[in-house]
Amino acid sequence: MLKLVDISKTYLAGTVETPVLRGVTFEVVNGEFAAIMGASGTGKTTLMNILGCLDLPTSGTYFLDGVDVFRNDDNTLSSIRNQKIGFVFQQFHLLERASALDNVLLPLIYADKYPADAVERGSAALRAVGLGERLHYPPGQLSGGQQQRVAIARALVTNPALILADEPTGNLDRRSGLEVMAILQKLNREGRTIVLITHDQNIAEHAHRILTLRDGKIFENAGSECIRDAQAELDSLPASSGEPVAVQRGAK
Amino acid sequence: MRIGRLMGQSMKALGRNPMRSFLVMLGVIVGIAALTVVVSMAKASNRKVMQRVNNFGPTAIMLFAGGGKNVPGPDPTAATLTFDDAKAVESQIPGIAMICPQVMRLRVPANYRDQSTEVTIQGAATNYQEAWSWFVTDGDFYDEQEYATMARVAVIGQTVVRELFQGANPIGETIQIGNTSFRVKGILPPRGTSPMGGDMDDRVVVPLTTAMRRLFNVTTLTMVRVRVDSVSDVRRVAQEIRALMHERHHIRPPDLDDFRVVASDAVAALSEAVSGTLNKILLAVTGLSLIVGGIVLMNLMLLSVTERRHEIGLRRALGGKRRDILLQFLFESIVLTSAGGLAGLVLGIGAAIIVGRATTNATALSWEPLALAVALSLLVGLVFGLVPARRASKMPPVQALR
Repeated sequence: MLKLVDISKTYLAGTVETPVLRGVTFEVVNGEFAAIMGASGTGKTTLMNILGCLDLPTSGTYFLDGVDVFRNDDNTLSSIRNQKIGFVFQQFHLLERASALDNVLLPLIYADKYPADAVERGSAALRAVGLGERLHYPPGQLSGGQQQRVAIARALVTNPALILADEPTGNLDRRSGLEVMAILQKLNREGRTIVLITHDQNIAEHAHRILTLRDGKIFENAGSECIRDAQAELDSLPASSGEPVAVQRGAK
Repeated sequence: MRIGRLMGQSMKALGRNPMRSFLVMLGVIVGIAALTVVVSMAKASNRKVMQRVNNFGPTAIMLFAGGGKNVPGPDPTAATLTFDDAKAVESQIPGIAMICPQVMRLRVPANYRDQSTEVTIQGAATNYQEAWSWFVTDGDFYDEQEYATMARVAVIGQTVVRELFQGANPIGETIQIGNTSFRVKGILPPRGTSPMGGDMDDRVVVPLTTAMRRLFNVTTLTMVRVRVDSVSDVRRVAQEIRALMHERHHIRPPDLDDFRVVASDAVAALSEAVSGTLNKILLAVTGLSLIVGGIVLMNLMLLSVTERRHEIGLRRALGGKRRDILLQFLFESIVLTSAGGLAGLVLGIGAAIIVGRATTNATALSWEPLALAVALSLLVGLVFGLVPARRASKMPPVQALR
């Protein structure tokens, strides 16, 4: 599915070189749910940007779904992002005054071919994340957890090979965070490949496999496979006082 | 079509921020409205120039007695132009259709019973009507017989009819000019303003012979009206008349001319000098205001690009190509300026109508300001929208998302 070979990234500030990634090599197979952990400042975001084809490494090779990604120009990279990757960001990154459905349809705007059933697909994606009743709500009228679910629906709508989630629970309370993780686990059970980036061990433990980023290199954590089930955790939480709507607005 | 989808995104983005959209449009609205008013005023003054040229006669040349440069018009005190001059012009210069020698006096008192007014007396040959392309509509012009016998007959203009007769039929009536009585024989139709700004309808036209002997007791002419065969001959014939007059009057530079030649092209130039310069200044100011509107647009769009950094990064992350971002922002600018242009046009047309009614500045509505407004507002959007759109498209997605 995806394979990184000796990826390094060095930032240049004036004449000072700051190496962030020093030869990252790992592989994620089809249908896997991998978490990449690391304290802040270890290059998680840099790795995420490279995995998301948003930034170029200083050296190294990246194969995604059989494509040697960095042999392509900017236009083709855009197409690769559009077709193969679904992004879920910590800050949600929704268009504020657009409806949930318009937000979900956004990746299709940039597809080579706009599907005739786009609206149907967008609605289905929103139903899949439990927001079938909220199609025409703007993000401002949704809770943080619901906003992040809109973002997940947006990541699903192009049916991408990889879902890349960067601290998806970072701006959410525990319950909403678990709801998001439950959805990601469900999607993974349905066969989607997911790479999750987080600093939070509790969140990372929802994945099959945990990789740790330290000193610019990647280490495999053995024996930590999928010890948590988000749905079970949700069920064990004390009953919440009503709907999670307005529990927390999207923090910025 | 991808481009259609991008335009859709532009429209939605504009709709999501109506206040900013309106502010961006404002500059263009004002600029185009001003432009519409100015163009319609310029159009009206052009029409006025054309009308003056037509009143003068597009194929006409006037040879006036008396020198001077600034004031084109008759100088009744000059006694330098003779019949022989007129005959020489007619016989020696090719391309002349006819000449009409005339004497002329301004502000001559005229009476009919207890009514009195001041008129312009023109003593003219019998071909006056053809020479001025101005034909009596009531009664008759004087004939050769009356001309030869110095008959006291007159043909009068509309102002004279109005001032002296107040609605009564003047034909056959007798008017007093100085101590001489004239029988009104015919009436000339309205002609309006002369190229020099005078009323052409205050004329009393009498036989040249009568005017020279009975009225003014002179032997020289005030002017000769020359008609050439075609408009393209005007400049050449005017030059040849000057040369011939220099020769006949033995004038050599640095001696000053004792005559003036005014041709239709000079009339157009004169009228343009009055209204054209003002129009050009107004147009320049208006053009400047459009440029200012464009710069306002550019700055607000640049601000918008900075504000919408996350949106741009998101769009890039979701697969938007640089060109997609460029087009979206360019469309936004163009849509805003086009909408502003149309609104400005409507406002401008309204303002032009009000200006035309409320002031002495005439305005003329036509298709030109419409085409100009549409073309210019598109152009402003394209030109001034390009810089912000390029900046948006060049934003690295990683930095934009941060």
